[in-house]
Amino acid sequence: MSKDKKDDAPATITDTTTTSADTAISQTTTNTDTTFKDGTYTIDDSYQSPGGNEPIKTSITIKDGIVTDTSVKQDPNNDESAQHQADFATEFKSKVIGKAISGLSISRISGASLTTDAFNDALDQIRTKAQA
Amino acid sequence: MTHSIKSEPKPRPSTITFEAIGTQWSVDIYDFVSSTDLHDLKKLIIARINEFDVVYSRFRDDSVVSQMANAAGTYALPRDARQLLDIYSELYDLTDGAMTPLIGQTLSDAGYDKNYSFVTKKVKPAAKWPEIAHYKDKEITLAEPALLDFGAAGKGYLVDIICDLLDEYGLRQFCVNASGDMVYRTNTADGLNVALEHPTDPMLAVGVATIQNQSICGSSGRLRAWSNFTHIIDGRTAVSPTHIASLWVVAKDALLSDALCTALYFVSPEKLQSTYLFEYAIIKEDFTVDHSPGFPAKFFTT
Repeated sequence: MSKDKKDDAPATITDTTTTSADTAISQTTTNTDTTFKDGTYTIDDSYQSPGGNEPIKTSITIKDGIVTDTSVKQDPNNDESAQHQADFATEFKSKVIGKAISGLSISRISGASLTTDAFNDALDQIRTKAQA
Repeated sequence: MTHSIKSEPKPRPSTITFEAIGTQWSVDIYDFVSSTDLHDLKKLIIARINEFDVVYSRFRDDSVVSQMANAAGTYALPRDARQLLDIYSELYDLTDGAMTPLIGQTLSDAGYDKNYSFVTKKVKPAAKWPEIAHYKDKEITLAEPALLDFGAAGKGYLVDIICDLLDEYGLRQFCVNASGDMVYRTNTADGLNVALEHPTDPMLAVGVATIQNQSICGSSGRLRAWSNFTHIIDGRTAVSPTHIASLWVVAKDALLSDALCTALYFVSPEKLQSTYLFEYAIIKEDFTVDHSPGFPAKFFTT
């Protein structure tokens, strides 16, 4: 996405909060000549749903070439779209984070470290040997 | 779905713990049981697990599976085999051959062998299951010697079998937990809270699931990888998938949950949902989470 391509894009892209306009960062992707200034970029877009045309506004914030925040705002025209958009808005960027198991009120754990003792023990021994 | 469920069952359960099939088991019983009952049950459970293991384990020389690895032919099967072989056959088809009992040889050659050597030999894709194996209720015929592996569903199935044993004993509220793959049965409103372990740090959880008269099983390769492999290998390519960090399945029984945990590495949840009723949560490689709307858990997210 580039602000220069405003005219070609089907959606309107607005740069709302450029904070340090002179910072130019090269991307590590194939588009090596594209740079992003720090700031929040917003796209007003719409899509065709079975219930009609639905607007959706997506923003990303870039700092030092990294996307630091994203948001989705929706103003759907019907309830079903509202539900789908709400689900999308809560799910689309969520990454799991860890919380200490010792601090949770649970009595069971499901996950990899517990699955098979024999397997894990053997692998641990081999790793220890490899490091020795 | 979970909001009406109270947290953790009360009172404190009677617990039976033991090691079997290379893993730790914990059976918590919330019904009143005497110490004689507990002692009796422990013996029954261990005997039943051994009866299963001596057929299906590729890690013991005296098993039927070890005999099959040495010679083609027809082998007698116990009563419980049909259900296990049926789900493997269904999932073989649904995954276009990625998930197969014939992965045993590939796993072994990759280093996950009888001796847990983790020394990788020349690894080949698995042969085609329908060409090698034909089974009926009480017997299976192998067209050639084949090392079978029932690791993708065997443990879950055994959890179900132990639940049935407890049920026949007259028990109504219990949790059978084979190191994180478990079933919780209850005749109360209590749900059982289960921490969902972080893909790379066993001290952390990424969420808490609540189950009630359901099973939860999980799978993760991150902590269990060696050279280029995990315990999950695609039968078609002999390659371990890397796009999933951890996943969990909640379903009515553990045979299904456990089996689907492996199948989900190879096909979309939507494809499996057209055949089976289950809820899933998948933590992808980049730690984003994708779950079915009804997956009964709260995730800790950014």
